[in-house]
Amino acid sequence: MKIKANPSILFLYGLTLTILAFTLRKLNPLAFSSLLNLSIGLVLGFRKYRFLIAAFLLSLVGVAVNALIFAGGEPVYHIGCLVIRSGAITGFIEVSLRLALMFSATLIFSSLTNPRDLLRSLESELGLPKQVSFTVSLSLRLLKIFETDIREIQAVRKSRGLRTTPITPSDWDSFLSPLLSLGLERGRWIGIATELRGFSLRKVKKTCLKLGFVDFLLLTLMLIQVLASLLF
Amino acid sequence: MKFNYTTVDLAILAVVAALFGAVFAFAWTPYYAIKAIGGKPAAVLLTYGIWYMAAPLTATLLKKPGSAVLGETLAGLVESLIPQIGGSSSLIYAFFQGLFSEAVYALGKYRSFGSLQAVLAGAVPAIPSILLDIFIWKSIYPLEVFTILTVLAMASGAIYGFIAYKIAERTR
Repeated sequence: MKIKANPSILFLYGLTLTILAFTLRKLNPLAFSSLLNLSIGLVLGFRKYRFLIAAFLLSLVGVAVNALIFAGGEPVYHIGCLVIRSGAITGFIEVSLRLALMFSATLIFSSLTNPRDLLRSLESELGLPKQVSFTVSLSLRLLKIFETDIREIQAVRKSRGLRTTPITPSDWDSFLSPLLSLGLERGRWIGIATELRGFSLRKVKKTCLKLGFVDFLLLTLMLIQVLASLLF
Repeated sequence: MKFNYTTVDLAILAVVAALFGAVFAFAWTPYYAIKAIGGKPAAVLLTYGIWYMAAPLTATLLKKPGSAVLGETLAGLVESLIPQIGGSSSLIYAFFQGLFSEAVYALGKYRSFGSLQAVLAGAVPAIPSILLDIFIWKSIYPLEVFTILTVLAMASGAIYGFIAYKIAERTR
């Protein structure tokens, strides 16, 4: 069964989760929100985003290493020459829960909708200015082209004996200049062509916000989590 | 100075957003490579400024009020729409970074879009960026680490702000 949700509601839900990840101070509501949304996210996106889930787990290894090095507190365990402090354990748990909450927003949003539907929904249902939706949808179309350009520039740099992955500011200078030069040329012509097709005169068709069962469920979940963050 | 954007301006904004959407995603590779070799301070100094570049670059290209905040925020929005670990956090970071960059141009009443403004517009986003980092990481890093990281991130931003200005002036 395919679950359908309004893209605008999904975007608001994802944004709320990310804001909660930054603002929740107490561990209990943070753990509640993180575990609830991560479970939903994994059920929805486990098949499609296995690679991303693996990357998330790897990032937790990085969090653990940082916690071991930097966190303070009383020593709790000694494993050989390694000293694990109390702050490392609580720090690791807290940061992991925050990252999990952000990551679950990605899993839920990306599993149930796509950027193009989101922009259409934001423009027609929530009144996002057409200039903004045009800019973002054009960016999303250009993104793939820039990824190809980056690979081409890397190939050219390799053939000239330069670093393919820029490291120093000077590397970034020589890496970004051709990318921007190509992009601006495209941008100018796309802008002219769009205007010639009457972009400024185009009227946006407004439609009512249609909410289904899943949308009400998401809004209720969002309300519960915001209330939990305020009360506990 | 008027807040009127032509369709060509919007297309250029889209180009910057797409370019930096791709570059932001790509920049994680050198960030982790430098972090593994030289530690977090070296990684911050050499790479953090890349994430602050969109604002001074857009402002130097378009020379219009709002261009810095729009350029940075749209790049962050594009990055957040690509499935990635950070969810919408890149949009939140980008918005505040762009706002601080915009403040530099606004303080000068949008009279000048030169190299000094670009350097400052590259450096000041380090403040909201590290402040937001504190919300997530404060239970691990002590405050002294954040202070050092802020200084390094500002230095990095200033360097990349100048590079953004140079690239924009060269390609306009």
